Amino acid sequence: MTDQETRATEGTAPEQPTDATLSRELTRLLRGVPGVVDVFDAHPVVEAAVKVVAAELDLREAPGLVDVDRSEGLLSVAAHVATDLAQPTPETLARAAAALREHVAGRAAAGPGGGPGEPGGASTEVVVSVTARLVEERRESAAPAE
Amino acid sequence: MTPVDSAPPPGDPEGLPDAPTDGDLPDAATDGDLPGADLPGDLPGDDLPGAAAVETIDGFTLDDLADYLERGRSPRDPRIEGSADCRLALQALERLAPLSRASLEQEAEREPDRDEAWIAGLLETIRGEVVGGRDIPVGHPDPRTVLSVTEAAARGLVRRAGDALDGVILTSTTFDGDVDVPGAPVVVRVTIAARYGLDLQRLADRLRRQVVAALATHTRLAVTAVDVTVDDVWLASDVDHDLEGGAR
Repeated sequence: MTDQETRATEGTAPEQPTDATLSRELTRLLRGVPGVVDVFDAHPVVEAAVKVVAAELDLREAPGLVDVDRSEGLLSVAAHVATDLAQPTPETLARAAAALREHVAGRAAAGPGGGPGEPGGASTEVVVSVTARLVEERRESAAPAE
Repeated sequence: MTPVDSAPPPGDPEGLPDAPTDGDLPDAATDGDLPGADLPGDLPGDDLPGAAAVETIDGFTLDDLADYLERGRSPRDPRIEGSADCRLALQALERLAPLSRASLEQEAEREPDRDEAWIAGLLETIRGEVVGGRDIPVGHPDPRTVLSVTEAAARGLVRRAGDALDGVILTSTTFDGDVDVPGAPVVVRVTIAARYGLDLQRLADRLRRQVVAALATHTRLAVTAVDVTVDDVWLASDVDHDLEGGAR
């Protein structure tokens, strides 16, 4: 965990990540899912622009590209990915969604507020959406998009 | 043209309609300072009146992207590489580049005005096709999991399938139908330019199979037909044979 994250979580349980931290974790996770070639920014346009500015001001860590949003007892996790031409995209998307859900569930099990649960510990429904915005050959030399 | 993927398409979709033999040209920009077939360095269309924000792809013109491609995508620009739309445009431009050197230059010398307009129209179509569009749902048994493929990504698959065929330049792709409704019937309409002398019916059949196979692998679209319109032909040049080892 970076200094920034440490500061962000001060005063709460040690294992409770902010949504920004969770987004970064999920972005890294997606990059390791078989068939996922790249991850694109899934934040709404205005929010993404603000994050770019924020990232330029604080170069210690790139912002997460997975959109994490909590509202009215619902945790929405949205990801935009490029998928590998050599693998069926529906299967890749299903794997990606399963990985996201498992990670979020794992966070929930780690402690209140760590994942889908509200800070008070109330249960929250998790909706995971994954969109393929590009299908292409995997380029071994390709660097991450973030 | 250099084939991208010459793997034989699986299956032969019976019952698909025959290819129409004519059709409408895509909306083509017909004025401005058009450099002809010098792709992808200077692209026609970007000097046209009003060529501002509406003609950019996530803030980049096709000229910007063509320049970036010519530099071998180096140094890496994270704003371009982080944009799905730009990446789709790069894909299309990358496959278009050999075409310009091979077939289009000769055509440009023969009929420069006509060819410049045609290229401008093609680029305009690419610019329009790489931007998002509708979400095509991919079913999942858990209603709390929503999977989809963008219409732009699907159009990219069709363009790839077309450009992979020797003697074909895919001009435009449209999906007719409610692609955002699971199971709704969809007709894919593709327009192509073909090299003179090819068996157009056979070419259309091959393209149809390639398109059906690509969309079946990567989407859940219920494709009921693939209509292929050949709206232009070009003459094979000596350069074609040099590049391809002989026309098929």
